[in-house]
Amino acid sequence: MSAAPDGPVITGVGMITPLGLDREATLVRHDVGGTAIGPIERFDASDFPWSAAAEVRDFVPRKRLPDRKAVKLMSPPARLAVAAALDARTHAGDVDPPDARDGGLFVAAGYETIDLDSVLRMMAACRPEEADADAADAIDVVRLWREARYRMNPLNALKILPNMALAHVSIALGLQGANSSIGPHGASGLQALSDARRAVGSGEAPFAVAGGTDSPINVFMVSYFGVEGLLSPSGRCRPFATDADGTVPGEAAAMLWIEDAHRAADRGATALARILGYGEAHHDGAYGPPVDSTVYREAGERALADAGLRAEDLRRWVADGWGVPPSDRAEEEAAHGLFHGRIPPRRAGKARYGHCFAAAGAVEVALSVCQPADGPELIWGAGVDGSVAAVVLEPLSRGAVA
Amino acid sequence: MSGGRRVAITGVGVICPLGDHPDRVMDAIVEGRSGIGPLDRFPTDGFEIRAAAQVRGFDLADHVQGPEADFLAGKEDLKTELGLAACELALRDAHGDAQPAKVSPEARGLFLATGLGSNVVSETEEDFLPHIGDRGAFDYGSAGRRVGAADSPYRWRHLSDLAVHLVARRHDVRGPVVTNYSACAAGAMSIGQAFREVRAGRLDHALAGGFESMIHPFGVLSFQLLGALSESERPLQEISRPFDRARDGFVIGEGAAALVLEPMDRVRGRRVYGELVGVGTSVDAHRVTAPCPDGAGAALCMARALRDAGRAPGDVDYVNAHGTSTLLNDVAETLAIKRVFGGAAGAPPVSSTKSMIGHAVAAAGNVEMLAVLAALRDQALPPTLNLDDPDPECDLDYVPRRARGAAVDLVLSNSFGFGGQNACLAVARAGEVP
Repeated sequence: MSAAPDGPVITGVGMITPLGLDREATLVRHDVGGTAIGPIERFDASDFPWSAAAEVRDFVPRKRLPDRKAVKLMSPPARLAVAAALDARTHAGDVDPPDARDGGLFVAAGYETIDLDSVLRMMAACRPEEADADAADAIDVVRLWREARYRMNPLNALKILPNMALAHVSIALGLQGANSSIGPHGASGLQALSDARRAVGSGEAPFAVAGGTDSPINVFMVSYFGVEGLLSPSGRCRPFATDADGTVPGEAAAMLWIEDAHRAADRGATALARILGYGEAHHDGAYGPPVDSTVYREAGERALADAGLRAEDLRRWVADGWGVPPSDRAEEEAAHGLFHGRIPPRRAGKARYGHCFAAAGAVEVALSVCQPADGPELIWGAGVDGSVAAVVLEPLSRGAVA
Repeated sequence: MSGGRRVAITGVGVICPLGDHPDRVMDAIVEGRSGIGPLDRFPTDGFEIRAAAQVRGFDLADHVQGPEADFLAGKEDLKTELGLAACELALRDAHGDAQPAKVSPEARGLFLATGLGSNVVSETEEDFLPHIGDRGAFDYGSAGRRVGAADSPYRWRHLSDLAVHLVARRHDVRGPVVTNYSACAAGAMSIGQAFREVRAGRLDHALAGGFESMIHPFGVLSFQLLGALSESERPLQEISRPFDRARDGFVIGEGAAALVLEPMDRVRGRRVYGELVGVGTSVDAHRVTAPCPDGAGAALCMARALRDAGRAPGDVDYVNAHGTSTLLNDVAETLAIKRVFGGAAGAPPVSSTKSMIGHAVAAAGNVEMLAVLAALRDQALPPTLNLDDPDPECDLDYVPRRARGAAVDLVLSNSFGFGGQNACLAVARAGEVP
């Protein structure tokens, strides 16, 4: 561990996950073990071939978010993101930063979450007025203009635009600095953290809030991912197991407070960890998580090169571990190649909190910051777009972080 | 100033309402031709919105053949098709081929901008309506049984980022693939991200672009319900009138554009459209429903772009405005420009290409780069059409109605998004090319 690090360091962690409604609760349940995966309660999925999810339950936005009027304009992932960002700020002890105007914000967001009730009311009113059996499932666009549109929430677009998680976090925290809203896949959360690290490292931002948010437990995303063969019919996500049959969708947000080490030292904040290396690669296969080990390995090698470390320096491997057998095999093969057969202890958490897609990478980093290995670790994240990102995380604070 | 390598724009691909060839689109912009016409992609009886800047006559097969084109056949996914075609055209423009042969796949990156998915009516009819009761109740049991059937209709269609995957696969991009997934500043953000990677030496080749089509009933409706679209009864080509006293909203547009970015020392005699020299981003942190009225957030991104470029406000010859033609944006942007340039007297000429091509939403910053490159190519300031009676609160030189010759060495291009997310790019005439 470095005694006096330079460059960007992580000083705060916020998360809201299926394991718990804040960082502390998540860590307690993470220690206890067990899984947060269960039957989907968000909608009636009993007739779907895939009916399990890792849901964030009992989250009451009005109790966690200061601006109750703004809550009405927020989609579920935006609410999670703001809650996690506030949690990170409190943890970092940086409650009213004087340099907020330059504070960066890098958010990975999942696919848009539509306001289903509003849209359904509108669509039901779009059927032709004199529908015969064949036309019952047709949209009459003229009826849309004449009456159906008035059944939709006029602010619907503002609820679902992909950058709204970023916008609401910026307002809640007063951040106006360098930013990006990226997504919507499994590598995106790590990409956002890398963007923040670079912004702080280059001096573009004195500090940044970065992470991911996703809430894919709705009829559309379950259907899309399910039909592509990615979701588990058994409802049990079992990464690397011989009987694995797919992943399970999870929802979460995780946000990290990343700042220049000198800024942290000046205000007496504890540097918990730092991203020592980052790498990315892309495969050209079919839509879905990578099934070619090369791409995992390339991303890992680039992250190690960026960190200036060798594979034998790593003390833990945080696996992407979708629970989708061809992808798991590819990742395992890549690990064997990267670590030359001497694989460090592995954590594969999706069996416990599902695949939180755009939030997944940030959740893994957040957990690792709070429950560090005894040295640097490698964290992989892959998306169905074929991207793999890898982070080498170095703990700077001994022991678990509450 | 961040230093690093000089970054050249060596290829441009564009599909927009003004055409599909970069030089001809630039010609049209300088000539002040309008790409706005009737909104006629679907029935509009009883709908107040009459105008759109539609891409017309586009056929993917004219630009792209092969498995990616085959995959899209019959899917009515114009948005993805536009993205795939623009990227193909940009690579061909830069390299004469769809592959940059002299750059290893690992040193190539892809940075594309997109916004909401582009749902079309047929998809809605197939996926939603069979399961919706008369009062809007959704029959989840019915939907669940249907989705599990062997002929399930749910496939990867109309996903917002589908073109990203198809482009990466088609062009063998093995380096970073980043989807800037946001709103109206997404296009400029994507270019800025790519620029940083090439400038820093992490990539030798980047394809940066954006693709968008919200011209479908639910997309246009979304903006109309927000009150963002003009409902003017003027002649169609006069409706988009940024900075004019009578403006009342934007005209929805669509399109895609992509740039090839390479280090200047690799250009070796090829055409250089311009040199990217800076990027700045900011957030208003004000409201999600309206821009910060004093322009403070937007000013930050312009100031940051100049600082990143190591240039002073007085070096700027032209600002290609976000200029939506909405009441709030145009005043806030005017105030933002005055903040950066020390008042109206110090501000350079400003114009809005949206008067010709409408608002291409997530791809706006990409398509509008054509106006920036046209200004550099022709040493001319593109006009703001329909600016007949300037709003007293919009008191800058907006180059009304006709282009004007001028020495143009440095341009700023603004993109401001819903939610207050802002980006500004600084682009210079290439100057000496090794």
